Amino acid sequence: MSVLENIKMAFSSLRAHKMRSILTMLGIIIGVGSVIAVVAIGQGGEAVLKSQFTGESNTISLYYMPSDEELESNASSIYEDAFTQEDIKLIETIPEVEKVVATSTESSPVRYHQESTDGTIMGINQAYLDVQGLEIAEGRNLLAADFLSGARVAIVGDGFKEDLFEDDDEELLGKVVYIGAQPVEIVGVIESEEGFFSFGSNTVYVPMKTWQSVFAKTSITEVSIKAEGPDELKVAGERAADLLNTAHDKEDSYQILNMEEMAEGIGKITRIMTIIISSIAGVSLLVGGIGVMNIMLVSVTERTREIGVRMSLGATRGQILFQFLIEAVTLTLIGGLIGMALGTGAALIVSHYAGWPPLVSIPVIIGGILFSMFIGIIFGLLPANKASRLDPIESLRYE
Amino acid sequence: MIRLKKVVKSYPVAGEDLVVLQDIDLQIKNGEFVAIMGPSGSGKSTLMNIIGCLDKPTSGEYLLNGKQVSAYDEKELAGVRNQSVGFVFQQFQLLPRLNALQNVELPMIYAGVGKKERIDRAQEALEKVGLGDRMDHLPNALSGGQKQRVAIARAIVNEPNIILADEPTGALDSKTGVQIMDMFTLLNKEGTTVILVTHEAEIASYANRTIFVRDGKLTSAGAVVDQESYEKLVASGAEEEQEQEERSITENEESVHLDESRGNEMKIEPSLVDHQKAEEGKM
Repeated sequence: MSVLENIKMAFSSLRAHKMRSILTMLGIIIGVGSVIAVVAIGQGGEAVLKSQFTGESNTISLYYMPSDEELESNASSIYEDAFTQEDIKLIETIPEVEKVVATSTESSPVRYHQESTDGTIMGINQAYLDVQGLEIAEGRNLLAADFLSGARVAIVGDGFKEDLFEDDDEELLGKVVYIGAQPVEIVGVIESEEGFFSFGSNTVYVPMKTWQSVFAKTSITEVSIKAEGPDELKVAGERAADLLNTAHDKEDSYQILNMEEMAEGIGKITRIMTIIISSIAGVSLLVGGIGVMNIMLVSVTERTREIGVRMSLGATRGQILFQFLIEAVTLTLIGGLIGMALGTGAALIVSHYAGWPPLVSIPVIIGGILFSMFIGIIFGLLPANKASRLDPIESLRYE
Repeated sequence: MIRLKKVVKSYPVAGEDLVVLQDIDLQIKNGEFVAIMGPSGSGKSTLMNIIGCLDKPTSGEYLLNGKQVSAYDEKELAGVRNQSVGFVFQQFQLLPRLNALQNVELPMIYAGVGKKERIDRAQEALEKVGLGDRMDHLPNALSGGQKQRVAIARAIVNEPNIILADEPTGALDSKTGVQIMDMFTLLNKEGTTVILVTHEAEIASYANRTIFVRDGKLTSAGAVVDQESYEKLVASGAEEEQEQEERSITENEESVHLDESRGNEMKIEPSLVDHQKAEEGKM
């Protein structure tokens, strides 16, 4: 008897108990659907995280973290300024270094007349514009003169519009806002990205000199280096860290932060999260499989006479086993396909609202189909085996 | 040709062997119309099951068309049921979700016949039993007599040389019963061996020969109609057959009633079936 014949037979017996078949499938649908959705969402999120971390610019960051020995000898070293203006100049002497991006960050209330809101104040140097760039929606960008003179000008995220003005029609451009007690004039506005990971809508960019005078600090919190290519970048980063350690008389307190490695690390975390969540979803698949087994056992008992008749007409035990196995697999496969459609749909919806690319991968889909078939075989085996072991004479008399 | 030699069937019950069939020697030639009679629990159904390869003898030999059934495994026995035997049951045993045509198709599915040929042959068989206009009816939509005719069509569709009918008229009224028996008579005239299990003498009278089973033994294998073939059988049969087969019974309804009380304890047998090697052979 052909497989096709068996599949047709399976469909007809599943149709005979529509409600029961659908309810049984539900377990598989939920299981497969949630696994697919979790994996797809996880992979999409990972891709977005990675791209945000690595960015388009080919840079490497330096950071200052006092080593253990350092902290033992001088506990206050953790509060020391990370980088100074001299450090920047020092790094610029390295031949492989193309640009040195310096930024300083501080949180401060931003005030306009009576309204006040919290903002992130970033002091940037000119290299920042060259490497990172700011996408100005209105007004102008910071100019070389602004950096040199430490002009009281700022580029702000459009998030302030909502926070500082009662009237929606008011423009940020041209307004003078106060960072603490220090006034700055808004010369440009950045439109913040829409999406799950959008940040920076409440950021104020000012020239480094301005930042230092506003906060009365000389420190630079972050330094990153841009080089020609990835190889030069690595050399430049290591040399810069060495230079800084020597200059500050420290051991391994200045280190390079490799964004790619970090992105990789984050990828690992999201992958682990995906595995954990999909394992939990997998448990529901297991429960669904047990449901299939249960219903198949009921079905075998109900159809004892049918089995007897089939055997008397020449069905071998193998054929009876195969018939019920195919029926179980058909049940889980249909459930798996529906689950896949729903899971993919859920992933697409979440991705759409989160604003990241949906990543429903072909291997996951194929894996889902195969796994639901596998569940059918595993949990169909016991009932099918029971059916094939029935005694034909006894079965024919079964009421 | 069916040939049983010293066939014993027993089931272990509470540590002891319950003997259902004892030293059965029997020969049924091709083209015969034989009735097996006996009270409930006499072992006649077990005998039929062994002949139909649904069950295996505990010991003894069974030769079917010259082949030793003792050498057959489960798969080969299924093949015998599919190709050489057609079953007709008292309760029709049609699959309720399949229509008449699909029910008749079933044996051919297991024989590996292609879809188109299956439909042609199933239609042919249904037309033969006079149900050409009821092919797409589900069993529920058919009367008892029609159901039994579908079952007969299903039994003959693989053209077996033996038809085994277990109380085929038991669930039918007498008028319909006569129609069904006429159908068996017709099939027998076409050359098919018909073996009928019944406890009604009236039904048994359609057969050329009646075998009486009592307490697991053949008490008679006499000829009711065809004395000549019976004598030939005795002459060619084994020595063991002598005594028991001497007595011819035609109307032994009394003993049926007398043995009714034994019925209950015997009915538990089938759950304890263990499948042993059976033999089949051509004679």
